[in-house]
Amino acid sequence: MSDIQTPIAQDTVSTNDTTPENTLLRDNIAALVLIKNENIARFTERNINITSALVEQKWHNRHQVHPYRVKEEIYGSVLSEILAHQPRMKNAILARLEAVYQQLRDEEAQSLSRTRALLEDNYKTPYL
Amino acid sequence: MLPNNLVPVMLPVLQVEITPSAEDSALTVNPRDYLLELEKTILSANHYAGQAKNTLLEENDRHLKERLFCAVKIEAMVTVLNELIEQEKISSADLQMLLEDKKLQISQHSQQIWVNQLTQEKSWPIFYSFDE
Repeated sequence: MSDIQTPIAQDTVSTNDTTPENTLLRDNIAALVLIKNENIARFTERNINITSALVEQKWHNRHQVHPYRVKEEIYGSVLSEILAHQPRMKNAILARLEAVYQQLRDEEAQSLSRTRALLEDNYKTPYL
Repeated sequence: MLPNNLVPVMLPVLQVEITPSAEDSALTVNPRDYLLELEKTILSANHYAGQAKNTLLEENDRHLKERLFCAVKIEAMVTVLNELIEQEKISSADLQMLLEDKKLQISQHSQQIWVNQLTQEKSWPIFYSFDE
């Protein structure tokens, strides 16, 4: 993958590659850097009360992550119940799970699409 | 930004499959390292390298990582469960029954998930484990 060899300078988006994935990554990095800069501006204002802002932020974040946690626990329990009933296939299924995870992780490294969707509040988890 | 592995303990044989060979990684940038590079660009905490830390920015980064890992875990599990149905290792009806069962079971205990979000007393996940 030659398109991922370009080193990324802090806060800059520079690549000459115009492959579709790369354009997507470049656009997403640009959007994410904007969001980051807004956050930095917002959270470093002189008159901000860090303690109360942090309490408020943590409360908001807990509410936001809660449905993800619940869904993960449900789907994880389903899968682990299946594994318990299929001991012979357990290692194969876990290996597949890990392989899929690696694939998604690499995909994210090449697009940052989920990261952007999460920060822009339009990410949807898939359903079974 | 995302942990290196999802399944905590993998058999050594199985790990060979998913690790790029030595020559490969010498020639190209490993996508995993690349994610780390990206993290430096898009997360806020690095802005403060060498300066006083900003707990709000740190909380922001932490929250993004938490949601991203949850989301990718859910996507991976959905993919694998759908594959099991396609390969007829489990029937769609059985899976739906099991799902309803677990939904009910966990929604009755969802308070525990909330409490653990507050206390972080137990390590995640609470209701399942792929270890044994």
